[in-house]
Amino acid sequence: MRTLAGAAWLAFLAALRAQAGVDWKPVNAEELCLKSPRVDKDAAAEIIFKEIRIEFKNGEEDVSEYARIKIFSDRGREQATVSVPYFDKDKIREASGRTTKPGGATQAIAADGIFDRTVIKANGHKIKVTSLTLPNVEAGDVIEYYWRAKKPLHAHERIEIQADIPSERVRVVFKNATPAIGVHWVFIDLPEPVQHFSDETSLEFTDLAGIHDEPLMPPEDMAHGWILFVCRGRFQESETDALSEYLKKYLKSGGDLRRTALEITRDAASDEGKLRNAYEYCQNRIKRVGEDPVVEDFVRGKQNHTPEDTLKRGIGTGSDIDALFVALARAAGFEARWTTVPDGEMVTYDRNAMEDMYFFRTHNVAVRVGGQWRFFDPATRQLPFGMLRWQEEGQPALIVDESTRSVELTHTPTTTASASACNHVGMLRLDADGTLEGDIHIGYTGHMALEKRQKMINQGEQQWQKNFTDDIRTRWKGADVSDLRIEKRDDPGKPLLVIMHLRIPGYASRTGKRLFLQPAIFQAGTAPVLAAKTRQQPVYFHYSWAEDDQYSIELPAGYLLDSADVPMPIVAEGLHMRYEVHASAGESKLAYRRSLSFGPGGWMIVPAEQYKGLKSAMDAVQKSDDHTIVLKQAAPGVSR
Amino acid sequence: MRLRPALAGLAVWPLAAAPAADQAPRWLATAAQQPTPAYAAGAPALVLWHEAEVTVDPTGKITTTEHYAVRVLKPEGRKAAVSVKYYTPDTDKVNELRAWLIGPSGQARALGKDYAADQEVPSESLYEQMRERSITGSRECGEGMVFGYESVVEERSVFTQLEWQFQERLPAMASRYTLHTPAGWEMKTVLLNHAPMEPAAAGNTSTWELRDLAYLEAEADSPPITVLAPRLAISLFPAAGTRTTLGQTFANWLDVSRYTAELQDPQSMPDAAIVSRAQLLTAGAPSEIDKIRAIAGYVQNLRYVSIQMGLGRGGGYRPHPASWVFAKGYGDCKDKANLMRAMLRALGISSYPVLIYANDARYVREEWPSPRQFNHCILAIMVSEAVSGYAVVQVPSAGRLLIFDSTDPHTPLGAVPEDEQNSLALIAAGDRGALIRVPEAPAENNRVERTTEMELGVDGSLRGSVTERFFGSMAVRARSQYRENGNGEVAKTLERWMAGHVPGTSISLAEPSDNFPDNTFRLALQFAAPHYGQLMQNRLLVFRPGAVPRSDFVPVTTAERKYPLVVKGEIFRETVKAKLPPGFAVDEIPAGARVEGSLGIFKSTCLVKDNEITWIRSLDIQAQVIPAARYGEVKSFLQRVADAEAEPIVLVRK
Repeated sequence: MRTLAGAAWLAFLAALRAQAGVDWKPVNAEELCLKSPRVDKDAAAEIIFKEIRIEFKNGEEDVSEYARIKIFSDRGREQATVSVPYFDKDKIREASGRTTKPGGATQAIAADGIFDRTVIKANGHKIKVTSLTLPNVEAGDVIEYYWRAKKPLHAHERIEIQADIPSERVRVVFKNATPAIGVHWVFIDLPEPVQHFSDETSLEFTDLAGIHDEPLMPPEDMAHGWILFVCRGRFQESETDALSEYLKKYLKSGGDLRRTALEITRDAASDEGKLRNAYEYCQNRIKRVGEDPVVEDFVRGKQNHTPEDTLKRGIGTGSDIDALFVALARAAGFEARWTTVPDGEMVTYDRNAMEDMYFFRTHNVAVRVGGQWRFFDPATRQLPFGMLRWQEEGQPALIVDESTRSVELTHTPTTTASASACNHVGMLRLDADGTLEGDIHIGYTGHMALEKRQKMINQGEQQWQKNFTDDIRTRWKGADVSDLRIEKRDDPGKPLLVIMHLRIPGYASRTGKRLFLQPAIFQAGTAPVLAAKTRQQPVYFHYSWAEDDQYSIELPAGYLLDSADVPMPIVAEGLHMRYEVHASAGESKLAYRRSLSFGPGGWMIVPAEQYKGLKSAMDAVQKSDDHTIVLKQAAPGVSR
Repeated sequence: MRLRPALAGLAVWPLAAAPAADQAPRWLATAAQQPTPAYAAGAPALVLWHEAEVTVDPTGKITTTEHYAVRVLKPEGRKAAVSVKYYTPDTDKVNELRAWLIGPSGQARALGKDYAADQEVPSESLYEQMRERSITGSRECGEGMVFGYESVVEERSVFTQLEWQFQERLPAMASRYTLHTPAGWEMKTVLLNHAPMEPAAAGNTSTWELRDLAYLEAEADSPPITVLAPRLAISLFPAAGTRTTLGQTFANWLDVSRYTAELQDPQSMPDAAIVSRAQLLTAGAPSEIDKIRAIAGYVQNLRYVSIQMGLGRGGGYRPHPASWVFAKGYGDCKDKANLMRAMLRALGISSYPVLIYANDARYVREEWPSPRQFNHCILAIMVSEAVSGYAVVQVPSAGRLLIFDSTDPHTPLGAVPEDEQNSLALIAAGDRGALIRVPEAPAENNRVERTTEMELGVDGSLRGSVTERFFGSMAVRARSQYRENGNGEVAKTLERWMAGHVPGTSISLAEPSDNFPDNTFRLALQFAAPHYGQLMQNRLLVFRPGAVPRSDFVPVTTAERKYPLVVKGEIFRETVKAKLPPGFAVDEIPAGARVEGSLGIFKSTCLVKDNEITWIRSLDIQAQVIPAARYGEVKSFLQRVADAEAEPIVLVRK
């Protein structure tokens, strides 16, 4: 009975919402007759018009969305189901929709086509969803939906403009009926809209493409259009005060901390040594919640409030560990400050458009050494002293002085390409049947080493080794990896080493009298990262890197080098790319060396307009990596 | 219709945890003290103890108390530190769910409400009634630590059958299932994927226990977990005259057929609108099969929308009335099959719902008559002798039936989706129902035939055209790619795929054409690869004849296998004609190969005639299950095929 009553109530609510007074405007004949998409010829459906209205009033936001969508193919019918997620304090006031057939007949959504439910309840919060599905939708139809919600006022309101399908026209109408609230907005990855101002502001975007995924894309948030409404002052004002106030308590140090600082820096002769000791203490001696096994009751109400809490308990969050490092450095006599930076994995920061704390999502520590700010992040396991994660390199950094409630804007440094390297060194033998076999040492440094180390730890070393050998067997059928071992995994200051014995039957192709050997063993025949001819999005390289491969290959008896030419060097100045190959053949051995350096240091974004040049350079490298050396069977009696 | 989902990691992380100081219960503390046995090596986690105690009371209420303890052995094993209890709110209640963490030193703590969540089970349904309550300890539970939970779940569903899987993939030291039934009740049990075993019985209590269950490591193309892990299936039969909330009992498959027919038949009555549409759709259809095809096409093209309600009361097995589905223009598998029944009925054609398990042809077992074995509904249409093809089966009790899946929009009438072929399915024809083996398409039906014509330039550049024809299940795969992603997107994917094998490849034309009724699909391509052949010392020009790659059907990524390799039958044939560049003559061509093995047969030949090279290759893979011990043969076969395909052609400047 309880359930039936509940179901009846839900249906009643849905019916109320469905019948709410939506004033559907007639779909015009041109839209009904439309046969093909106007923005993207391949689109299965296209938004003809969408209007999002947002009003800030009496401490609330009133948000509504109306969309008119043309369905061009069966695939486009998936647009006929709409889900509106919302939090427990929000309320969906109206939800409705209708289908219009090419002949003009309409069918409105019925109450049993609308569903409200709580999707998740956790930590005292609920996430709810209102879903609606439109009736009898076929290719050629025009569908419309409308919903309206009331929400409590938030500091930031994010409005998604770009959709999975193309949009001909999207209008955002915004009204601030509460003058006390300062509101401004930020456009992310959107063309300049047509703007109209009266008692409300209207922004209109036209001909927006659908969202498409591409390899090496900028972060998701930077690769589709959205607007951020900010309902308070900018970070230089009130947010700095709030952060300073918080940090005053959070970075507060006491006697135990000073004693520890003295103890761990006592043996260090230099500033560098003192900081290194403090860094390693924080990185290795404090367990990090979420990464290390933590049995202790690290729970709400028992969080660390000061660095001394972290020190005493030996456990903390990433923030706690960075805060402890600030406090230890200060106690050791350094000027150390809390620093916030945008996370390069989430945004590629543009100061002209994104001057708001909303985009400064991560943190590290700035310490003044020799008059210069240096940056540290002991909270990241396996990160070498003095280096930052790629996500924090080359980013604007707000160094916070909580005592004066001021911030200093500077930039974090970047590492060079050679600092993040992958090197292969091999002593190998090629047999007459094409089998290549020998010992390979792979070394990783910098960001490459950090990524590999984190993967090894997250997957477990055994699983990582299994995946590694599986990858090799996928690449070369019949390949066998033995004596695989990992060295220096837990010593981030040293290169990470992967050592193995590798045997690849049939590596060199054979014909009746020749063997064909591709000496760029780990690059030849691999799929290009950028295979597409054209590109919509910029290409985002997280960091610059270098590769250096050296092999000594013993050649099979009875074979002579028929051609041992090498590809020409490749230089692409704009990409800071340099590629070189050297090969020399001795009596019975081939010595091969390949080197590549890419990027100016730190991250790099190549605009879509420059994709052709980038692809051409990368294709040239790949062609050179696929270069084949020919060995010919010696005539009887001819020695090598 | 739906199956209770397998245990899955929870996507929700607690923001913080609530203070809780409870000690771990004694059973958990004891379990946590057990050393890790050698057979758990390599596993991410080890189940130390899993026990379910199920009490069925005389009214039919089922109360399940579970105790579970798992030790995390590797970082990826953390995701095992989660307890998930599924329930349908109209019939079930999770009365208790408590969890603890125990460190290597034995220190314990309870995971409070901040680690708990209650959520809708993630699914593709528009409305999903089934929910899950969970406690997640993954964040804190590191290597060497133990996570344990206790739960009590009360059910008042209509179902009279119970299931217990003794393990998921993780190794388990002990897994116990205890069942208390009211006096006078009977039960039938089947132990699947395990040798027969009698329970320890005491009065109305039966206990099954398995120990030292090995790690069922995931392997590509291995049989699914449902075929590997021991499962207990139980059918209950209340004492005669007992009044319970439980529904029908099932002693045999005819009982299941009758039950399904009772639920489905009343829903399939056509109203005037359905009759009218059926007549309109078939107005120009001259034959029986044409009429059925017209109705099939209409129903297949309706949107798939699933609304899961009343699950505990059998709602997962009862379709919406046909008139409702027709008016809405959408529905789930049983809704679509039911609407098609109604439309066929309007034309005087009989049909029956067919219950089947999608995506796992070996899941359904004959020895356990139960509707709970199925997760999908298709249709069996009564046809005359004029209708033939592999999808037609003769069922002694129900007649000549054409099997058709009205939910799959890519498989035409006359064909059966690949994953449903050869599986057991129930023709729900009431008293005339039967469990049947769904027919399998002949191997020759599923093939790809390709013709490649290409012209090599003196600099090694290549221009070419490809005509590829897909048949049977290969056509279904190609068709679904195009329909789901659109021509433009598939062309880009194809280009990326080809460029992945030959750098710089670009496609200038990709023209698909679909013959849906015949289940064939054709693709015409024009492509260019500027750096295909390698010119050496301006003298030798070397290239491989297979410029357009073929799909790799069988994975051979590991050195050895633990489980059999499930191989789908595939046939690939290609003829390549390559025109030589001016000024070059052939120096060496591939010798030709014939590789034969248990997996299949590969043949290639190469001929030169009038400045043109013709290279022909064919690969016939037999559908089969290859034992793990013969995995070496598979690797060797594929290695020899790869070697033969990699053999280049060498041209020399004249």
